Amino acid sequence: MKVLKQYWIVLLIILATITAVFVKGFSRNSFRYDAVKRAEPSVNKANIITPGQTARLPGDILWIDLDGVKNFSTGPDEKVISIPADSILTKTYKKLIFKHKGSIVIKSADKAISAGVWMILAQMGIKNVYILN
Amino acid sequence: MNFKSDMKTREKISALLLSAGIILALLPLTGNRSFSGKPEKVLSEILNAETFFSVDQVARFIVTEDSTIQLIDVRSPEAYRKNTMPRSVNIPYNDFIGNDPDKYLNNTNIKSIFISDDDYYSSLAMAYSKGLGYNNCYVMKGGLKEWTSTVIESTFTGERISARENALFETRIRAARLFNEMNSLPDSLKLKFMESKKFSAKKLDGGCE
Repeated sequence: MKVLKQYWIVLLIILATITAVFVKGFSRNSFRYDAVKRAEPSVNKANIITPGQTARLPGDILWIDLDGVKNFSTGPDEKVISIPADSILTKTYKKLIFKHKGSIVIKSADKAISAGVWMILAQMGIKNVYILN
Repeated sequence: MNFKSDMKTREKISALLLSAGIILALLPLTGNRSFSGKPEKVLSEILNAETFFSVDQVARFIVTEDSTIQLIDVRSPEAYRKNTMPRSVNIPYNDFIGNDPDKYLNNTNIKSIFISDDDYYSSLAMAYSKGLGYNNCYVMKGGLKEWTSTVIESTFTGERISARENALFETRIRAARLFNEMNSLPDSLKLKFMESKKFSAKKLDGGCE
């Protein structure tokens, strides 16, 4: 107790730092550290996938259509949802995306939309997100 | 007494060093920047229609030599050499991501318009820049493909032309002329020109060379 009283400021600083780091590191409401590292798949084109390559993706695939058309050629068991790009970070969809364990494939007729959404999701820490070519 | 006070000082120093060590261990050890702001806000800025300029708007900027505009071509150097946009600089996407964008985007009075073959790499570069806090970034909608089909291959079919349409076609013709002049230069001259247009952070800062 004496130690705690003596060094309470130091302990407070450590606790505050640990809390801030954990919040930043694990929060679904903020971006992760190191933007260059998160953007790397776009530099080496590892974030683009063709329909033929999707069979090699690990785990279940969550197909997201950003145009509201559900224009995916997938098997009958595939999970396809239609989410307008500007709604993808609403509470419901964010929960769905973050909870999904496998890969996420996004598609839009507008390459600008799929590129922008990919960058945001990648910077939020979602690793297995791909753009369907 | 001295011994006791020395012990206390040592304890305090040890506690401080230990806490500094814990903090350093937990903090991310990277010199790279991270996106800032709320993801929802950045996403809405990226998707905002005002973030995109049409090829006609870019043609007008080129023809009027608008000094508040900077065209950044993020294609590879080979692609840039083949089809060079007038008044543009080439910063390949790999280099743009790998370096601190402050080198290219720190002048808030200049609008930076990203160009690529289509919208993909230019939009990625724009999204990356916006995420890092650079609000003066835009995309030429449709890229070089749209530029070619709308500006370079522009034709008017009809019997009458309105004043507005006439102005539009005039701008397209002038921009196409500049584009064709640029790209008909012999390789050696083009290389010299491109070298002179290579982005120089020093020039922006007004520093001595």
